[in-house]
Order: sequence, then structure tokens, then C-alpha cells
Amino acid sequence: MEIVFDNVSYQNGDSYILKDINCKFENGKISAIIGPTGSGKTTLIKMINDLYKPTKGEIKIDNLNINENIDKFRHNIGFMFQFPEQQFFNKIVKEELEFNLKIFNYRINEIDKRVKDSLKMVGLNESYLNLNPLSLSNGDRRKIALASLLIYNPKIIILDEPTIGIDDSSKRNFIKLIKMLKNRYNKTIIIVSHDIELIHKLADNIIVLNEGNIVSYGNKYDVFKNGRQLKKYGLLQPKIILFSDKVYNKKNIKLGYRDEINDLIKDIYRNV
Amino acid sequence: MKNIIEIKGLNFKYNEKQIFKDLNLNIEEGTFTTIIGNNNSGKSTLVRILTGLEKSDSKIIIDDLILNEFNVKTIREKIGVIFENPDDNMIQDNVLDEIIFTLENMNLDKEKIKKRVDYVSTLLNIEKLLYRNVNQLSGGEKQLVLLASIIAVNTKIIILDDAFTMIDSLTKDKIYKILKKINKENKITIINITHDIEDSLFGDEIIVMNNGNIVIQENTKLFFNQEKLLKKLNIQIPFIVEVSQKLKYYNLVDNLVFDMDKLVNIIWK
Repeated sequence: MEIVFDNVSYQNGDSYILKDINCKFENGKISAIIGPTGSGKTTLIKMINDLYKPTKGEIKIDNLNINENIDKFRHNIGFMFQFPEQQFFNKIVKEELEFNLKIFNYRINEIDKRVKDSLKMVGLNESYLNLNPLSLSNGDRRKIALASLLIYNPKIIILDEPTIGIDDSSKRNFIKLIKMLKNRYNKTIIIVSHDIELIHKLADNIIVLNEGNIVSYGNKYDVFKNGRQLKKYGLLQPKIILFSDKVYNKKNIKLGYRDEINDLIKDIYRNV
Repeated sequence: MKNIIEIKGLNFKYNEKQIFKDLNLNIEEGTFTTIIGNNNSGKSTLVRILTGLEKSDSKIIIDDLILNEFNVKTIREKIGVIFENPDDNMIQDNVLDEIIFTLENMNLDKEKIKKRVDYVSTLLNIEKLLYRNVNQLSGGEKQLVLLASIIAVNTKIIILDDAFTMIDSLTKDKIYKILKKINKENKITIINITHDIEDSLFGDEIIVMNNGNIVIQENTKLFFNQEKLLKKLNIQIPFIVEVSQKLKYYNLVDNLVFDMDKLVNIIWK
């Protein structure tokens, strides 16, 4: 499913939270939204979920207006909030996970299997089923929130700060999972995060927001290469990009941009 | 330097589950310590115990005082702590009130309070937030305000429990430099719990926790020099450490280098 923002603004009284937003989120691509705190990132993604409606312009999914057709799209949008505890309202994990399936009228015998599969996908075992989601650590809460949307297999997955509080191995697992959802299942994935290294590892395209405006938009290298501009918006380049830029600025050697440290090492070896 | 925190044989159960068994820990005054570890390794519980939010019968000494029901209030005043979720920390409606809340409770006069508020708001660049309602702040702004309120109080110990997760990268970098300055100049002990291994390079000591145990407590640079140990612990390592480790393998550098500019200058002399 493709999402298009066509000249979208969102106003709160006189002030613009988002202004004249034009962008596209494609199938099988991971798009990241970055920008300083308070730049409108969370508002933008909440508009895809009909939580805020445009005060101007139109948002479309596969050419249909989202707000007019939200009931048609609801089961295809998976949204993970910044504070997962705000989306939990059942006493145990099992009920939390089943909740959406019941709303979307899944068959009872399918529900059990999906509950187990979704837990497995986020790296948790069945011992979590009878725990109270609010008794879990922040990291585990995020995993349950992710499982509770993966369980109904939405085509669009929106994640607001998905990795806060989760440890290294869970983060690596998360990166693998998101890449698989993109490559194998062609999902439309949107991530808001402050973790620039995570964005570098995952994103295909990046939107930089500042004070409600898109100030940079394109494939990740085009956005990340402009270190000085990013700094203006409170953002640092990913370390591996920054390193290549430093080498170029100090020594006039062009290493190019890499995703993996091993490739960077080979480039260095060839250039010393 | 004396130990500002001493934990002797800590045993602690939560909901019948043994979290700590005979845990010992000393933290020297004036150190900047990073604590890393998996989810559920006990990091946050340890903070709750140190700040008296969870009770234990074991012997814990903080700044020469034994942590017990008589001393807990005095000890709380020595520790500025920020927990993971900023909403759990905020008590006032308005940013300025949030910052001066503790200062007023310390019976400081108006002049002094104003001075401290001015100092922290300039230091952290939050002047424009002072008259805003707390509910209108973004997550990152809330985290900045919380940091401002503990720096204003000037406690002997600052504990940060994944406290900067919603702050953009450049601001976070600046905050760490400020913290490092406070740490060195005012001898304030800082304990930073984080999941971002890059942050550990701002500290001088590192503690790795696993399953309620302290696996290692060591000088940060020495720690990252032990390649075999790092592999065994299976933890992420900072970018600059990984790059210099690999360059060392190719004989392009002799030792680990912790600074990117320095590394570039060593490779291309």
C-alpha cells in the first residue's frame, strides 16, 4: 500500500504543527522521519492513523482518501505508539494480543496460533502470556506492543521510537525482523526515531522535519551526506558516514558511503 | 577518593523472583560510570533500591550514611535521578515550577533560586521552555527539563536511567559534554544507565550487568581493549572501537583509538 501526502497541513488554532507536507511512503520501502523534538514527527504519523485530520490537503492510501475510508484501512494499519503502556488496556498479555484479532473477526482456532507466532517474532516465549503487560520492563512492553500489531498482519507498519529501552540483542533481532517484513512481505514501513544509527541501518528514504516543514527528503545517503544541514536541525550524521566525510575533509580521500564497518575497513585498506 | 556508594551482599526479591543475590558494588566519589546490560538484568531495580523506592535489608552506604528509614530522606536529597519515562518524573504543571520545586523545598531564598534557574536554563538552552505547560512539551523537551531540575539542585550524585532516549543526537552530545564538565569540575558522581553503547565513551568506568550480577566493573578504555572478553559478553561496541580494532588487525594502527579525528590522522599521517 502506498501512502501519499498531498500538500497536507495541520493547524492547532493559529499555529501550524505541519505545513504543506508533500511526501510518499512506498511499498517494500522503509521510510524514516527524523528531526528535532517537537518538529511534528509524531503528528505526521498519527495523521496516517486518522488520529489527526488534515486542516488542508489530502492524505491518500492507494489513491483513496484516508479519512473518508478509514474503516476500510483500519485492519491494514499497524501503529506502535511511543509509550506502549498508553495502548495497553487488557490485564494480561494474551488478551492484549488477541484484542485486535477479535475486533477484526478472526476465527477462534486461528487466534491461538497467531498469538504464539507473534510472540515468537518479537523474541519472547509463551511464559509472557499470563503476565500483566504493565508489570513488564520498558523493553518488553515495546516488544508486546509490536507483537500486538504484527499479529493481524497489517500492510502498513508505523513505529514511533520502537527501540527505546530495548537491549542490544533485542535491537539486532528487531532490525532483522523489520528487514524481513520489508523484503519478504513487501510492507510499507514508517519509523520515527532519534536513534540515527538505527535509521542508517534500516531506512531507504528519510524525511527531515523541522518546525512542521520538510527540510530534507530523499534516499538516506542524499540526506545523510549533508552534515552541516543536519546539524542545523540538531541531528548528527551516522558515525560511519561522518568518518568518510572526515577523511574527505581532512585528507581529500573519497572513501564513499558504506553500510557495514567491514566494507569501510576494506576501503581504508585500499586507500592508505 | 572515598566510595560514595557501597553495597554489601545485597539480596532482593521482587514478586517472589530473586533479582539480586549477594551483590557487592562500590562506586568511588567523582567517577562517571556507565551501566549497561540486557533488559531484566536488574539495572533499574538497582536504582530504585539506591533511592529508597524499594526496601532491602542489606547494607547500603551512601555518602557515609546507612540507607534505612531514618536516613532515606537525607539520602534522597543527595541523589538526583531521572527515570526512563519522563511522565513518571514530572510533578508540576509548568516548566519553571518543575525546576524550582525542589529548590523551594530546600528553603533557598528567591535570589538564589533565580540564579540557579538562570544558570541551568542557559546551560541547557531551555529558556524558551520555561513558561510552557509541561503537557505541551515533546518527550525530548521533558527529558531536558528534568535534567535541568536535577542540575539546579546540585546533588552529589546524579543517576540517569535511560534518560535521554527522546533527545536528538546533537543535543545529546552537548548534554554529555556538560555532564562531563560538571563531573570533573564539581566532583559530582554520575551513574548513567544506557542502551546506547556509544554513550559509554563519555564515562571513565563501565559496569556490565547480567541477570542481577555485576559481570565486570572496569575502566572504560581498558574494558574495550579486551577483545576476547567483549566477544564473550556478546555486546555491541562503539563504532570507533570496532573500527580501530579491525584496523589493528590489519596493522594500520598499533593501539585502539577512541577519537575519530585522531584516528584519521594516525591512518593517514
